[in-house]
Amino acid sequence: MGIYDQTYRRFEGKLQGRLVRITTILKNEFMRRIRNKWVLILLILAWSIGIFPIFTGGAFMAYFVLTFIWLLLFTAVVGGPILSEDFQFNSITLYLSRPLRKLDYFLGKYLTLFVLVSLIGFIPTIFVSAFIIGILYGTSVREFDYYTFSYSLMVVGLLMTFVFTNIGMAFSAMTKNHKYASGGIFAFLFFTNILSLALSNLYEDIMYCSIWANFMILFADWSSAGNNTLVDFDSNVSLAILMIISIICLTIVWIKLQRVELSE
Amino acid sequence: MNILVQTESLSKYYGEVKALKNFSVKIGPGAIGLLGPNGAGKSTLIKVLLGLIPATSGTAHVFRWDITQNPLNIRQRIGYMPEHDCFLPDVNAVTYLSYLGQLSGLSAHDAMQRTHEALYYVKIGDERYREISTYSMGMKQKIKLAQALIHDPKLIFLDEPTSGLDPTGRREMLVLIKKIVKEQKKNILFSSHILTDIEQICDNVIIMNHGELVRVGRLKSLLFEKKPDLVVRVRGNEDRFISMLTESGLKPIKRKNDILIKYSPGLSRQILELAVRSGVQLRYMNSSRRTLEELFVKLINENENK
Amino acid sequence: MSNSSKEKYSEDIITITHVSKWYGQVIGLNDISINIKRGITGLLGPNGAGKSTMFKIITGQIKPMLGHVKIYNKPVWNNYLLWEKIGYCPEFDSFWSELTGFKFIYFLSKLHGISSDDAKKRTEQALKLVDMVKDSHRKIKGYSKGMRQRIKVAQALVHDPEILILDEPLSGTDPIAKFTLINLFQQLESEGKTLIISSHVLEEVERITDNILLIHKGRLLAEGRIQEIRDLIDKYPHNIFIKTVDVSKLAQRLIKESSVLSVSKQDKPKGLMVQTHKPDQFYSKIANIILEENVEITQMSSTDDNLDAVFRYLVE
Repeated sequence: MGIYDQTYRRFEGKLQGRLVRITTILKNEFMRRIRNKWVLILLILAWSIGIFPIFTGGAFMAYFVLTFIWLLLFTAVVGGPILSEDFQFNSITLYLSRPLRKLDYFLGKYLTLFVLVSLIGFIPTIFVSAFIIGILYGTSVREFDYYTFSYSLMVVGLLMTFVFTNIGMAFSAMTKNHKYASGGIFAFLFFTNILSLALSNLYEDIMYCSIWANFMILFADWSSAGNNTLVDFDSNVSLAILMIISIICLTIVWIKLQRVELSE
Repeated sequence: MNILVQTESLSKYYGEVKALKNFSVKIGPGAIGLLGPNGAGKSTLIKVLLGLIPATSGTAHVFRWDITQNPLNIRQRIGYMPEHDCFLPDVNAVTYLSYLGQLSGLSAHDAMQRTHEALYYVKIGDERYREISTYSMGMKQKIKLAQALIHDPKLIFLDEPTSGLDPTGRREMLVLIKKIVKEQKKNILFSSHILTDIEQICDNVIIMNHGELVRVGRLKSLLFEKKPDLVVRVRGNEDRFISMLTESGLKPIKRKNDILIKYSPGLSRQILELAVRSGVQLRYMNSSRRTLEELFVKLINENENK
Repeated sequence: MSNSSKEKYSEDIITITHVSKWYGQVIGLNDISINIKRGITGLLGPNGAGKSTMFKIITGQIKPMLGHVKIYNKPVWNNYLLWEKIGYCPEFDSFWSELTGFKFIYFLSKLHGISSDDAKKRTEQALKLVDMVKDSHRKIKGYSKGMRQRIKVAQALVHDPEILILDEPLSGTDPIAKFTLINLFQQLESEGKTLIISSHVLEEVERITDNILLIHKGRLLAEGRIQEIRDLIDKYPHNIFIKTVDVSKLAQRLIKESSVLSVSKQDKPKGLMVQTHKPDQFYSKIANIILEENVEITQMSSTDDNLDAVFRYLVE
């Protein structure tokens, strides 16, 4: 019996490790982004319209084009604010003044964006592959090696997720204004693709400047689906270009994070 | 004495600009005020100690740990209340605090429990379930303080905690900080431009200018006057009172709202007698203590002229 | 200002008569009538009380829905000639940060119609008054908060106005800048100018003036000298601390006084805390009582005879 002290108490509890802190960032950020209505709308549209062509039997080009468009929009919308919001609202100070390595912060944010982008870039490919293998199992439809096809689809999906995440992180790291970041992501992806595709009639190698085309080249090579127009391109070059872009993007993010404390 | 923070010739240069210059200081427990004109290096010092920016040269130890070797251990035990706003948009206080608690290593359950405890401590009620963007300045500052407390740190850096607050908000914040220092016995490093706040809360002060240490010491001894003058306020025939003081050989100086009388032995008794004799109401009598502001201005001017 | 010189300058400079202003349904100012005299008047109030609205109406930037404001007995609204005599230092930073401090003030002085040569001289003078000469040729965007505040005050001074309206001029300034500005305000007061200064830091207001206006929820809550207002607050008896070692002796004597409500002993620092609801009566007798009892006292001060207590008692 007695009257108990109502004030602030000491904390004697156990502390969690690095992995938990990283996943905390992932969970928290993911929930925040998902609650945004534009994000949900894009997701629903992407899943319904984007994947739809697959199920009507073989309009794979349509699938890729639509996926690319949805990915572009989605990355711009979720990728734009992922780092720039923390710069804008100065919450970066709070993160860094905690017992959190910069690397952990980076990983938390990166995984968040990766998981989000994979919702359009990678997860659908799993379902599509499952669908193809399921439907066509046992049958041998028109000399179609559907196993290789499905695997390449998933690998390319994973690669797309990876590259788009890197691009999203880079643009978001470069500015405080998330609208500029989103705009930048959209502009970069959209214009490089449109221009290269438009100019490809004049000069064939321009195609390598289109990120979308690079993915198609890789897919064509790995899945042996034999799309004639892409057969002349070297998939190694495409892979190299995509890797270089990724490395540049990650370097930009890293430099920005190293320098962030000086700006305030 | 138990040393919490120790720096040895700590320097931080941004190209030509010397934000910290050979800064050496020992900070012990209690409430320490950090003062200096704009650009003195106060924020730089705090950021270097937190490990947010690397020092150019020199060393520093916090809780006996080297800031370059063990920044995480240090940050585990420090709370930081930054000057500027630092909120995540569209979250409420509970989400915000429990998230930050978890980032400090608390488990999800511990973080939630301590979130509510911290919010009660800073006197935030049901507003905690509303988005932070709807809060007044006073509430936002309290939330900032709460996030600095949630992981039960040993040392808390407070950077201008009363800036932007109206008189009510300021008073509440100062009462809260006093509680933290006196009741919870936490150590704080209090950086502020409002010197009366520092006088109220801190026992020791560190005064900086142009990245250098100007003075460090106990407030009481820095402001101590061995032979204090007296300040007196009367109501009634003030001029008569003053002339009687002068006639008695005292040295009164009439100021805007009161009278300053130079020190002489037995002064207080004389004042009482003369007040009764001249028929004025004696309403106030106190030693003319040096204020921190006077000391500060004097020290900085001396430092500038060097 | 002493009482005698106050009488010399006791004409009303600014008269505010039954002014009301609302924004849609939200009340800004509610039937305010004040007369502001020469010298420094402190304007206080919680956030949202209506101080900025008041300033905008006095400087003629917005028109009240009811009532009017006159300066030197001439209406302020749409009266460009009168604006020449007013200097306004707004709360928010409304700068062109690409300009240097010097250029900014120079430009504004030209807007006042001052000739080029004169403008240069006056700009330098204004900068000197706020101690910003050294940094005046750097761009404003590189300035600290304290420097920006000083530039704002300088632009309010450059055309040598007789009336200065300063909205939170000391906010965010470091102690050195504060010291400079407070001295400047007191200097201007002694030159016969009229200043209205608002601040949230009550200790600073007390340093500058003891004539205050307290606004709360759009209404005038109190005006006058701080001590006089305190005396009017009957609800809260005065608490007076007397520092002495002869605690019991003095306590026994004081409790017999009719003006004393209660006496309590204090330990750190050692002395007595006296409560009285008749301060005038108490103060008339206390000096004599102390001498009669032959007690040695080193301090006698009211713990709540200050602006902080006044504000708290009236607003909260």
